[in-house]
Amino acid sequence: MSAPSTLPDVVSFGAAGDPDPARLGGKGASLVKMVGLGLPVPPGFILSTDVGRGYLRDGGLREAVLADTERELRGLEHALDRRLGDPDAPLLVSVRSGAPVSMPGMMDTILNVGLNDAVVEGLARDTGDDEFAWGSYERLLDSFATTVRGISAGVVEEALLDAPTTGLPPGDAARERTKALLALIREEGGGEFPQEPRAQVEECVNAVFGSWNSPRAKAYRKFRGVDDSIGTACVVQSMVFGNRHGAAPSGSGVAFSRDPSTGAPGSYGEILYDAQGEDVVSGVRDAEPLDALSARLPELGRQLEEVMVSLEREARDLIEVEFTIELGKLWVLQTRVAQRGGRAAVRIAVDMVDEGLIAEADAAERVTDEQLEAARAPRFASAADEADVLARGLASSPGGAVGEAAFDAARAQAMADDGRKVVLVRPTTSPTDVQGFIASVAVVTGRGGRTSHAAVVARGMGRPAVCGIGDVTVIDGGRAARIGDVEMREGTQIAVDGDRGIVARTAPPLADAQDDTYVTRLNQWKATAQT
Amino acid sequence: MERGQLRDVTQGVSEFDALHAIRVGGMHAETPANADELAGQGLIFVSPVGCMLTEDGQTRHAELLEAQRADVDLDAVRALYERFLAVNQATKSKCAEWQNLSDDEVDGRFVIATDLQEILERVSATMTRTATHLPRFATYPPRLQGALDRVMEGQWEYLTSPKVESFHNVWMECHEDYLVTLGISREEEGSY
Repeated sequence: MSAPSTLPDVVSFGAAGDPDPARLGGKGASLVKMVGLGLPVPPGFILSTDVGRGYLRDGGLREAVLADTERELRGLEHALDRRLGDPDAPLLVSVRSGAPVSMPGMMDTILNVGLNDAVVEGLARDTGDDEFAWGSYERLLDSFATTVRGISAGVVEEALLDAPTTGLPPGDAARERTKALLALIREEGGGEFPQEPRAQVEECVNAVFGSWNSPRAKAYRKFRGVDDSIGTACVVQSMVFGNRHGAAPSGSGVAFSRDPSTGAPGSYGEILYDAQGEDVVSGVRDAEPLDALSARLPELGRQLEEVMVSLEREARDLIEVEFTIELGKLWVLQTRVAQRGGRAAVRIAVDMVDEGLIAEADAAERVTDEQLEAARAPRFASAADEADVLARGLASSPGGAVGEAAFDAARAQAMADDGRKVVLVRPTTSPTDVQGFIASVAVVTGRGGRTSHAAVVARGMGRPAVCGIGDVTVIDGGRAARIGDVEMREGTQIAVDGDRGIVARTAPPLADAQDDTYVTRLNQWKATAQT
Repeated sequence: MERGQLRDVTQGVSEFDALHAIRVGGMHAETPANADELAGQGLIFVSPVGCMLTEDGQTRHAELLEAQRADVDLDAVRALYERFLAVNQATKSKCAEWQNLSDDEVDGRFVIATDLQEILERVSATMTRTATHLPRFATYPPRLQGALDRVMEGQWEYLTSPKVESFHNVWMECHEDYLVTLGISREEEGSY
């Protein structure tokens, strides 16, 4: 490995200089890069991989590192005009691991560090929102119990189930759960939860560095042949809250610089109002599409668009960001190169060549044969005529198909048995509908998004799907449905465009894979690359 | 198949268990031992891909379920269901993330499978406790674990494929069981 560097061991995002992942870890380097681009990143600092290796060598953090950490914490307090442990203006931080390469099995993230019995009361007073305050504390204690003190998730859950929460309002229920967690940490986790925020930070940082040698992380490194000595960095970052209630809106979301399913240009994503960072996709209830953000908060929509453009230009690839809006202010939390479907992979690679972002050879190398194959699946060449559109929803599983509408699984099955092509249209889906999915060429649902059961099942079977088209009511014993204010009979011919999220009366022509200039051009480049 | 063996089989219980398994499991439910009898009564029909409830079967199932609900502490089950819901969206998101990976992304699969293992460890406590009220819930943790074990052995389809007893299928069935048992509709709950 590299010789001990002369660069500082503990350094703020803004002062870190070269965003070198070997020194700052992948996450840290990415944050430093974003700050360098002038993006709105919640302030924080990094303990370098040198510190991580030192921790493992010495069995603890050196005094100098602790002093530097204290200096950086004071810097955060000063910059944000908040203080650790101050109930009236508390500074809360997240503590994350960040190795130079992805490292499953390491401690990942602890949120809301800095909350304690007094600060949580202050936070509840300040926000007037018990559920938010106690829910945040519960979250800290839960991950502290499992990841820092190593209590198994099952044992933690047992303790939570024993908490007397029946019939309580959500804030009080969360308060009861924090009591249960505090007791559990005391009794099963080797001692009291540290009420002193600085002690919390130190214990979390120790846990991050220690987790480099967790059995799971070791097993993974052995399995993947990753060098044991590279070590991890640790990121301490101020928290912003997408679930803070107030005069201006709050929320969290994920945004992609282009549509990760079709590759269409223009940013794409989802936002969940009143939800915290890590809830981005794991929050409860349905998220709204990003377009809705631009309609509701045009200035924020525009800012986010600029963020996407500058990050994509930097990465020269499709990128994904996690963002939070706290009381009307946009914060960018994380970015990475995004996963994409086959068709999107082809289109994005070709478009980026045309935009001068990458070379033809890069495009050829980037798109796998598997992605090219997926890009050849049937789809519509263009959007349906506006006059033919019956409903719009989320493009949840790509491809295009035409069939006769059926409104329950048994009917879909029966029609398919007669050799008819069926499109199953349901208000929502449950396991009883899966049989109908298999019998159908495409699926439409009234409720749910890309992570709904219907979407997961449809993608799993390669069926085009449009989810979340609005109210669907099955009537007439399953032989008809009301979609919005339109009544549709079983057997009505409909076209499902899973790339554009459109259900239409008549089908646009199918795109011929031979005529798909994206696929054709990419094929040529691949052929050139092989000669 | 184990369901009928969980307790003494009286005619009523086994009829309910069979109908309920089909109601919440859809085509993945095992064809019950008394399928011919139920089909003869016009309660189910058996097709090559699985069993489905007829309209009469749905009515009969609803009656039997109502009778069972009268003997169950539904408030306690509802509180447990809240804990299931606390990890439901995270689980579905992991499944959606999984589907976005290409075949060679072993790292990503490893991460998702271990995340789901942790969720399972947690939610098993909830399901096991639910089983003190409704014994059939005891079957979900081992079925989920079975699917995840196969995933860890490289049988990727056991995460989300609709065609095998995948993690997502069993999860969806368990969710449906909570909803049906508690009489909650997906629309009013807003979880799909």
